[in-house]
Amino acid sequence: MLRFTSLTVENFGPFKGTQTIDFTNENGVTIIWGNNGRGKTTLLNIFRYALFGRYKNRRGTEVDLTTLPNIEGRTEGNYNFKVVLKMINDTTRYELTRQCKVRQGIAVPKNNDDYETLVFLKENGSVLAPDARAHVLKVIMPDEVSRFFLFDGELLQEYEELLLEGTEVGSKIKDSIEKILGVPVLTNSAIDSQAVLEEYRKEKNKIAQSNAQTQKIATQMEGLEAEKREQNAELERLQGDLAGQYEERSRLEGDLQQSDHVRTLLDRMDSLEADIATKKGNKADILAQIVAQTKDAWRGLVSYRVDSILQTVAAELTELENREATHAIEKRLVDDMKQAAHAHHCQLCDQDVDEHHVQALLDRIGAYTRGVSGLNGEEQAALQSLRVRKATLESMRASSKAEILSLLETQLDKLEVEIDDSERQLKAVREELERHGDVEELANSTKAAVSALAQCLKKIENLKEGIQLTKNKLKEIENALSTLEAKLNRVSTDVDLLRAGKKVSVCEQIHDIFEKGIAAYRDKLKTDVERDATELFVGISNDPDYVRLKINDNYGLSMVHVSGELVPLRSAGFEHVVALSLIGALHKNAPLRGPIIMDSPFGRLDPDHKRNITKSLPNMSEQIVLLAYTHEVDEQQAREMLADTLRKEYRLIRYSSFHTEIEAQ
Amino acid sequence: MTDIVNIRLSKDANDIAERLVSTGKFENVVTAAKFALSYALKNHFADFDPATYSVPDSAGSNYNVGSVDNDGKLAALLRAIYPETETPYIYARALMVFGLMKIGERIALEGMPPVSMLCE
Repeated sequence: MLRFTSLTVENFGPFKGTQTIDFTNENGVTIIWGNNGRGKTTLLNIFRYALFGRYKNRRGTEVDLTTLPNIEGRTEGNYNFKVVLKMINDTTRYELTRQCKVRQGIAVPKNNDDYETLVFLKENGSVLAPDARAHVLKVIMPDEVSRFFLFDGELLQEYEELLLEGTEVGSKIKDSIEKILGVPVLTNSAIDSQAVLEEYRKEKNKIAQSNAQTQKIATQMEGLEAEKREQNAELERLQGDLAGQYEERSRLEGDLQQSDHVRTLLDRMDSLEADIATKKGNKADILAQIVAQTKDAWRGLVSYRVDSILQTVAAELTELENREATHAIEKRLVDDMKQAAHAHHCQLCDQDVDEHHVQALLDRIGAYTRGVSGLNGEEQAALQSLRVRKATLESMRASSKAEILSLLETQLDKLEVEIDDSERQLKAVREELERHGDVEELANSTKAAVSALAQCLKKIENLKEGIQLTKNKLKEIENALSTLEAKLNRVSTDVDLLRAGKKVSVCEQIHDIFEKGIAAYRDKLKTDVERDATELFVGISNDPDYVRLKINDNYGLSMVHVSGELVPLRSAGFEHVVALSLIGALHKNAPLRGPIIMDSPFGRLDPDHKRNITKSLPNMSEQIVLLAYTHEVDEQQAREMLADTLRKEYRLIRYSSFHTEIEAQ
Repeated sequence: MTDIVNIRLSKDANDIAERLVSTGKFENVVTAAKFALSYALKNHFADFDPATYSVPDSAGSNYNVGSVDNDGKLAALLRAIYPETETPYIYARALMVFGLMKIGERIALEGMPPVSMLCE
């Protein structure tokens, strides 16, 4: 049983610096929590990269090494990256290091050739030679079956292809399933026995050719055998070409998807730039309005003080003015009295004033003159000054700009927040675009990729047709050979020929045994897988009417209703549950045991299914590493469900857009 | 006593005025300085005497009173507020420098406040 004990990443993807995840030696589940974009899928791909030296995107296209170093690290001039995976297989300890270093003399790597890849595999502390390393890795974790050990929840729907006949994806998955189940042990034996059979047939034919009685038939057979070899070689070539074209199609589709993505990013960039320009224009307008207000704001601001001083000035002024007015009235009264005394006649009442009253008036005038005095020179000056001050202060009264400024500044703040938000989005889009390399070149290559894809699809069709024609031809040759073989056996009397025929016959029977053994083994495996998948499915499913799974020749699983009917169109959620049940069952029946690392496997599921799957995780493999986004599954519930089978928890923490830290919980 | 014909801010006060201008909300240092003068009159009238205030230095920018007070209204206002003064522009300089320093203290304490808050 293979078990991962630790993974160390250095300047790889979003993981800046050197970071390590320690797994436990005990059976159970490790959960790595992380929100979208924090690096869960990257971690899964890093496991793949460590084991197989290839880093593929979700379309299965290999990505450039130049895109793998941490972006912040790259900004600091560090383009190297490394992964160290420590494992135990039964009792043997392994330490696998895969390191990409920029070649000497290259400052900034532009393509894969600018990197030197160093791979070391230590077995119990000793570094293995490259051949031994390749052999060990193939034995402990063959690439062909890795999909069952390292899987992306987003791609589980691929398993639906197993229910369809003759699909490329389904055929690939079926091959992988047979590999993990150990079928190749038997199929290789069948191939070997076929090779021996061919040798015996050649020997028999040689003898037959040396006999005049059978020479003609043997020669015909030899010709057919040669033709058969030729057709087989042609079939192999066509199948190889077809596989190549499938890869090419995948690459081109990936490129086109990337171009679509780039176009979306470019549109987004344009839209954000336009949005920012508009908002900056609005900001400038508002600032201009604010500047217009602050130009005179000093007057509004000082108005409070002006009012307060104005009150004092007005009070002082009133007092002096009152005194001045009183004095004027009194002076006028004295003047009138003086006039009456002098003229012995009062103008106010038009009465004559006798001497007695004149004297009384003169006395009163004397008393008034002594008691009443006007403003002195200083007071007059003060009165004048106060009048000027009052007029000045009154002219300076202005309303406060606080309210209008507050309104404008609120609008400005809102705009600044929006601009900041848009600029951050724009920065992220630009950085993502930069990661795609030369954007213009990419856009130009789209057209060529579309044309190349069309040609590729045409080639695939032609190759498929060619393969079918070759297969038909081979069948014809096989039939002709069988007829001639029967004829040869009928007419043959030569002892050597009979002996050679016996050998061929025995070998045919042995080959037949292998063929039947393969068929029987496949049947047994299917029965076992169906049974174990059903057991897992029933434990996970929340619908009691779905009572079991039924397997087909491709290892595709259909759900069976309690009525016995196959469920024809199952939901996306149930596709997911069935795929997980199949993977669990394959692990139970595979000769090769190892850890399962699953990325976001709960995406399509309702809470009941999530709970049931969580509970079933420890039954799928001895070591499970679950990469889940926060709230993909309830954290507390997961801890309760897994109880002591939950061995460790880590969390992917965002430090920046391009820096994630793996922190133990 | 003769009044000044150029108003020269202190270095620190000038820096604060430039910070205010850098927000984009004030047209220039003069506008910011006049705003600060009003700020000082509004908030520190009782505890600040421009007659006795000594401006720490004259290392800031220099402005002709004509550009600061082209209609003479500022001088008139200061004469109205401080009737004893014969040197309104010396007072204006003192109030500008003091007001800017006080605003600077607020910036240091709470960051750049909205102008509307300085008006309250």
